[in-house]
Amino acid sequence: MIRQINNETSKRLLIGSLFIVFFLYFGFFNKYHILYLEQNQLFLFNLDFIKEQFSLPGGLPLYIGSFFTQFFISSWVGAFIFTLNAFAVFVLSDYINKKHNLKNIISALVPVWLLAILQSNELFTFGQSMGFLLLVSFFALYISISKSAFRYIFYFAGWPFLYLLTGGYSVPAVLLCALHELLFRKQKNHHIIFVLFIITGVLVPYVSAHLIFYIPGNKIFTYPVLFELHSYSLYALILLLVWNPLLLLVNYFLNKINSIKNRLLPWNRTNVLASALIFALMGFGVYKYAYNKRAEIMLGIDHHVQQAEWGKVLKLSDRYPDLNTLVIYYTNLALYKTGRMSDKMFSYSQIGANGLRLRWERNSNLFFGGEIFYYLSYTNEAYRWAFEAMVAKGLNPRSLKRLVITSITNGDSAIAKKYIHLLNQTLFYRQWAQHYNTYLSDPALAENDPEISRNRDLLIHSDFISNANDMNLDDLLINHPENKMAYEYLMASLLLEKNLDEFARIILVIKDYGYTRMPVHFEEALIFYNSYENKNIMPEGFSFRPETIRRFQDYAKTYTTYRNNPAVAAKELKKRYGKTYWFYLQFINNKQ
Amino acid sequence: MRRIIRFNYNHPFIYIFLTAMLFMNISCRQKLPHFTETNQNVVLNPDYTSISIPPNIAPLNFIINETANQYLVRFHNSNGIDFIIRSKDGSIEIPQKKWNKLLSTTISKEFYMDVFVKKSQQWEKFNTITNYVTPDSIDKYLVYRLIEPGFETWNKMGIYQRNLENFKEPPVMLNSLSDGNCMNCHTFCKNNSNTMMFHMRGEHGGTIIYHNKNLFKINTKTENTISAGVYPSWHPSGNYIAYSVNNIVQSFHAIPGKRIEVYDTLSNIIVYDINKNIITSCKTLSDPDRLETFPTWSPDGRYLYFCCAKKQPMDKYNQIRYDLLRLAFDPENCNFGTLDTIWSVSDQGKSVSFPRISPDGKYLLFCMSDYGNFTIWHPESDLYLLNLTTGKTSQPEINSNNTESFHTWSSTGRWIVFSSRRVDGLYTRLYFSYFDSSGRAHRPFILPQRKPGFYFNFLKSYNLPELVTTRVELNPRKLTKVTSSVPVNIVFKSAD
Repeated sequence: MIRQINNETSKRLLIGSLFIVFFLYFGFFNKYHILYLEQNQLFLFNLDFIKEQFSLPGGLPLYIGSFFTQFFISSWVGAFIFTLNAFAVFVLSDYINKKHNLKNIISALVPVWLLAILQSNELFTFGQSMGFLLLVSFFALYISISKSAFRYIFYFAGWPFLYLLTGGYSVPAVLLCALHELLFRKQKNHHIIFVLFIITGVLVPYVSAHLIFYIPGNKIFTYPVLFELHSYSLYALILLLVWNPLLLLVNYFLNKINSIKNRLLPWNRTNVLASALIFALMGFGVYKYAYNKRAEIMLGIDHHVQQAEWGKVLKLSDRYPDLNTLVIYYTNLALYKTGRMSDKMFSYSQIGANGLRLRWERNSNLFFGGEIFYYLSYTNEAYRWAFEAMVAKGLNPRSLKRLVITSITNGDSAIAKKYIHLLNQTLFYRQWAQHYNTYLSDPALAENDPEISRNRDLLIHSDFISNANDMNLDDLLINHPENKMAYEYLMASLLLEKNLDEFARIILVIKDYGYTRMPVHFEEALIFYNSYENKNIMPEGFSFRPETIRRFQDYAKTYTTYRNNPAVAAKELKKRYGKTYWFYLQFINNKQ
Repeated sequence: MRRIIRFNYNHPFIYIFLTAMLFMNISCRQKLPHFTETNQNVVLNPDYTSISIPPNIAPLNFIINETANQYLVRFHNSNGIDFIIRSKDGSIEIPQKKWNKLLSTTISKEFYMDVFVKKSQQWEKFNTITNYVTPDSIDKYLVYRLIEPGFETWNKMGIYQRNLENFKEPPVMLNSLSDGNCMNCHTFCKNNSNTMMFHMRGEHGGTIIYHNKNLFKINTKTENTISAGVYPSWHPSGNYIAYSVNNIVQSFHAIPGKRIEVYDTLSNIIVYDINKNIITSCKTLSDPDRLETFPTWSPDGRYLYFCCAKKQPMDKYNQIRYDLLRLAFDPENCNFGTLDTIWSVSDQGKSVSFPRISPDGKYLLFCMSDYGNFTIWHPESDLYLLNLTTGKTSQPEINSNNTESFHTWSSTGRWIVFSSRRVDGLYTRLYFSYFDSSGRAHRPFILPQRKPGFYFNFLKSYNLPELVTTRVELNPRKLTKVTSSVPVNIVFKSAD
């Protein structure tokens, strides 16, 4: 008796600690990932939203998933919801296993482990997890019915509904119910029931696709299961869907070999230790193969850009291990916003002028790429990127908020009102919407908003056409020569493109932008240019710092020493001058 | 044994029933509370006041734009129809049967709406709204595309047919069934839903044609043409389709109030012979120095009207201005004749687009803007009417300060449907205007919706409204079979 209690206690402790680890894994390691999920969707409290969600099979998990995802505005709440869902999956899986005489928690924890892998992928939305939860809930309910006739009725009446509500997530339930009848119940006519179950599972989706839903033929049995995942995530998804049917089959054969089952499956000390080892391996597997540290940093940078926490952006950028256009683009923005762009930009990785903005592409670039235009006060372009992101991704708070602010800036009150109306139907953006709504009823209030006020001051009055994959900095400066960010970005783009002739021409107006000293990289570039071109260009009222001249002389000396061996020169110079413009100019991003 | 149901007129139930009905009718009138007259006009959203409506239109549901505790609207006409709709939030949804009864007993007459609101325990009545029910019905179905008014990106889009007598809106085609591609330019022959076409772009590119119950897909791009067919017009015989072929460029403006510029760097017009499966053109329709676009046939099929502009370099896109021309056409031999200039405005700094001729051939409705041809992005674009008999133009009182663009006539020529961005400057909505026998376009009204607040939440634009007399027999399931098929290539044959 004592031993049994101890077993039960240790079992609970082990499981409890596993779920604490699960919670902490998502809370600490996937914080930004959870916040990003929230930014990608918008749960609206209106009938049209429900109608849209249920226009295809599988609307229920997506709807519930979207409902819960709105709470991911706090990453800890998100981690808690993930954990609750995982725990529900575990309890149901354990119940299903026990009903099939399989008393082993590892098998019940495998779906949890697979969920941990899948939920580490930002493409796998919480609606997908809900789909799986609904699937195991249905099967658990099904096997809880002891009377065969009621079970059949439940299946024939309930599964079509399950299909309509959960789509592709209901398909494994067909197999589960059929196998359950065939292998474990063995009632009279169980072969016929098996066949009828399968026929129902094929017929209902097929008929509903011809009568109810407009769904492509290749998605009738799968939508909305996200098979577009890659690598480990895809394998994990497939395993998650086939795990329970597979377990039923394995268990059926194990039941035949009781000696093995009795040795492997009871809850004894050996197995507890073995289980702990397996759990440790499972955890290691998740961290090693499913957790994407790069993506987490990248999404963290994105999060802090949205919060205008520029210092935190730079801190995370320091941690990013290699080159990534999005990271570089955001880092440059943060450098400008902290006033360090022209002094520090070559302390960070650079990939040429392409690192100042994102290319226009019909993918996730749209979601991130509008920031630069917003801060440059290129309001129409900021609006365009936000609008296109909303079209490509669907409704999301980030795009809608940007559309509201840019519309108010441009004086498009009617459009701003429309988007405010939508945000007003949400739980967490209602207050924000109501705040901006006051700007519509009292436009004078908008003038007190620093963002709107800044962009209105720099509103474009002389029209030009947007150049593809350019920032139209010249046009912005023609409209507003006082647009300091446009000036600094123009200088940065010239430095990154290594166009020093144009740089030397434009630096002459540096005084107009309120500079009291020449920024380090400007100084470096101009010293190099003057030396290389044998010129003496200097903006009025500025001079080179002696320290910079000394450093340049040392740089030039070292370069001359290794002139005949560029690889060695690069290695030597990188140690002392890797963060200078000179090093970028001569060794980084050179056109082949 | 056959059962015969007989109505016993002496049965007491009948009297009870009739008395109850009478009581209910009287009670409707009696239910009106005590009120004070405000002598003010109420604001409705949508604005369904002082309009002319067809007797077969769906209920015009609306929201009363007043802050109040309770709302009440009385609908009545001179033929004894009188009912009340109450609301707690100002949202008025009219029961279909009551509405149908009201309209059917008001044909060629007016009906009235009395709006009451309760504020501080006191009912107030606004000025009575009077609407006119025309003797002419509108074609039962309206086909349009729903798409986000985006810049370059699209996601879900579809061509839908709305039953104007109720709120049903089944899809004709959805791009979710064709790998998310773009589809556009659905067009019918003389408002006949059995003769239609639309284009598919991208992966399943081609033109889908439904003609004489045959459904097929063609490729209108040849080595001799600029592009595949773009803006179409069915010849009234159903034997030809005129298309523009265009090299279209999209640019994005930087100043507030302007968003997108869509213009052609090249364009010609071709005519597709459905029976022979060939396309043809002539020098007049393919002048390399000019841009020809927006073909439209005269109802007798003897003239092809189109817009024509002098070609300009890309940076002078705002100097491309179109005039209205027509070319004689011999439908028997598919030959082109002489060219006439119908309306020349390019020298006045204006540009004509989207010409559409009334079924009786008397009027031509077109858009006029400051330059260019893609008027949906031109807030200054308005609808104009050209009397083809007198040659005079007029501006019907259906325009707003914002964009008015694509428009079509009903089969009878008594109704016009057009696109407008008057609500918010971006999302295109559809408006109907009664065009009476004297050539006057009445005050327009927006396409009614079941939920009065529908347009607040709706984030798609209504594109290319086309009125058809009967239901389109096609649906996405039927169309998917042909949309994914390989299109039949067409041969080009010059008419010169």
